[in-house]
Amino acid sequence: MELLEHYLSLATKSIFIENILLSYFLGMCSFLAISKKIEASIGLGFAVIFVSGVTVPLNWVIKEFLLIEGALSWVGIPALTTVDLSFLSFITYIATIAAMVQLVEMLLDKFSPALYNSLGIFLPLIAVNCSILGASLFMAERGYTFGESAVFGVSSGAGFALAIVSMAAIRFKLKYSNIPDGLKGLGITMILTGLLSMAYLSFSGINL
Amino acid sequence: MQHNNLYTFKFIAMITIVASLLLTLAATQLKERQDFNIEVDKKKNILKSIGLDVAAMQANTIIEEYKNKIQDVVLKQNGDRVNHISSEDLESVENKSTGQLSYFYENHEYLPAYLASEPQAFIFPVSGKGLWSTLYGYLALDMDLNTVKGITFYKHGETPGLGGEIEKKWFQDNFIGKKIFDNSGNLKSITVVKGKAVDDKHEVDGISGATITSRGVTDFLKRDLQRYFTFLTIHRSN
Amino acid sequence: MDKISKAIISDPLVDNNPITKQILGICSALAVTVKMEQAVVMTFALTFVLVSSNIIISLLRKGIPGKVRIIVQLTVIASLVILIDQVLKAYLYDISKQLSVFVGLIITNCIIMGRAEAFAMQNNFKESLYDGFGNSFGYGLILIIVSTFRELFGSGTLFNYQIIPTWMYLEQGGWYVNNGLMLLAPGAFIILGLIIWVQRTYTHFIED
Repeated sequence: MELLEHYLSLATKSIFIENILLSYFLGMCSFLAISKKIEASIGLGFAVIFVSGVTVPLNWVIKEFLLIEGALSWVGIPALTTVDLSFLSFITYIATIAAMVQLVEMLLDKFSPALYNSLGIFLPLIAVNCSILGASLFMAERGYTFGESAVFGVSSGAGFALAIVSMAAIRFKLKYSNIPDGLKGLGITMILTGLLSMAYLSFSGINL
Repeated sequence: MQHNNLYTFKFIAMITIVASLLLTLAATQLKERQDFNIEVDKKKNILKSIGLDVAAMQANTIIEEYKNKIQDVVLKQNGDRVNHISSEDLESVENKSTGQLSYFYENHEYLPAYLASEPQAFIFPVSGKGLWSTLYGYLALDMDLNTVKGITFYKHGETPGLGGEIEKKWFQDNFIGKKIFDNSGNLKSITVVKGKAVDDKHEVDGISGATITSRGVTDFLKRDLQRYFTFLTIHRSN
Repeated sequence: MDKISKAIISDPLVDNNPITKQILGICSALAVTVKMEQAVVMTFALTFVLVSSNIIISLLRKGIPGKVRIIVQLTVIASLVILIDQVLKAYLYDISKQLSVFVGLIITNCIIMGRAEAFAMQNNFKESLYDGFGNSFGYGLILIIVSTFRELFGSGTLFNYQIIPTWMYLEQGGWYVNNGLMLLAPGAFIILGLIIWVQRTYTHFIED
């Protein structure tokens, strides 16, 4: 029960209080480009939840059993117990993520070509979506357990999904507003994101 | 472009092997030089924490200066000095979630510290979590063991311009002259406040936009000072 | 230099700017524009990595299997960045300390991945080289403009030199207070939004 409560508060924290997008500003590029359309936003939102929900715990396993100093001791060869591969952490994390993204790309191409086309160049860019690598780096930095990593991965992805879908909804409403020509599209979205993130700053006072 | 699966496997295997070979080669070949640089950088920061101008010093000058001015001290947890171990023998273990370093020698925990001559100072390592990374640094105290002589951070991974400002002179200079004990001898430590400092003895200006880093510094300063509390209190009365 | 090469270099400066038009590299544009010094360091680091990754990818382009191109691109980029970091750590330690925190930001900078995917995969090595320089300059231009505003109004300095006279400040008996919002990400968003407005009014580009 206590564990469940702990996970729940971790999830609330990473979705609302420390929203990966609106308070750490990770994953902005795809957020700004895709939030134009609601359907695509929902699609990308789920893709991010999936990729980050899988890669964060996966990277945890890689970190614990391959990378950190002494991680290789399970192999049983004494010489390996002192090997420290943490200089490879960036490249392995990102390779895991890229592999997952490639998998999602293949699946989407097969099952939902429409979504595949509307995500366009931004599908490969999920791989460099800083929110996903950021989630893995936070996981390593904060020393989460496996369970925490899984919860954190899914909920930081959910935080991203929440932010992008709400932005898409706002932009949908904006169609009826009279915006100066040059500010249409990206310009006004930037300013809106600024305002939205200011609104999210007010969550930062909550202590769980 | 279509390629068959075998080709794909071969290509990936080749890229992986080339990339990992290059990186491993770089990491192992350059390790010695890198370790030397890290060593020099630590010594440089210890010297910097007592207010010496290290910016213009060459690597060998730093090592020379360090040898002349700094003396290793190893303390037991009750504050007694141990003579048969030098701080280089201690093995440091980092707590992954708090970033605190603990030092061991033959399964006993010890506390490393440094004594500086001209200017005289008592220096010890501090470390803890910021937003993105563990911050490592040194805190130097005047011989009254209360007034801060200086603070330096030699390694961190915080956002440049925000949390990264901890390595800047303006931030570190704020600490000089602050007190770690209050008038009745309680450990009050130093708080990095949001905005401008009010209490000119125990508070320093915060870094705007870097609340979590600032809070981290406050927390780990207090925590690491606590470890030296016994030593500091005993020697303060003398 | 012929006309096409010139166009490849000059196009990303204004008309097809990576940040304001292609929506690439926003995360780092927010993270490193608090102070001008960091913006300049980041521009140099990025130029180096982008140009080299463009060259390598364009040389390899015929051999890279389409299915795994994302992983290949990322492996090339990440190895390149880590390699540079390792070499700097050994030979130019002070610079590497400055740069080490940028490493993560460079690997996940979508400009590099975006240009690899959109340009270097289709073009020869010379054009990719020009494209790398052009996009880096375009990126640097925006970074420097944004950081000028943020540093001047947020800290009252430029390149860490006090610009706004100290007697004007409230503590010195004046009336001026630095605008703290500029240092936070919302400030960056709003400035970026306004820059986009100016740029699009100038280029007459209207997004619908």
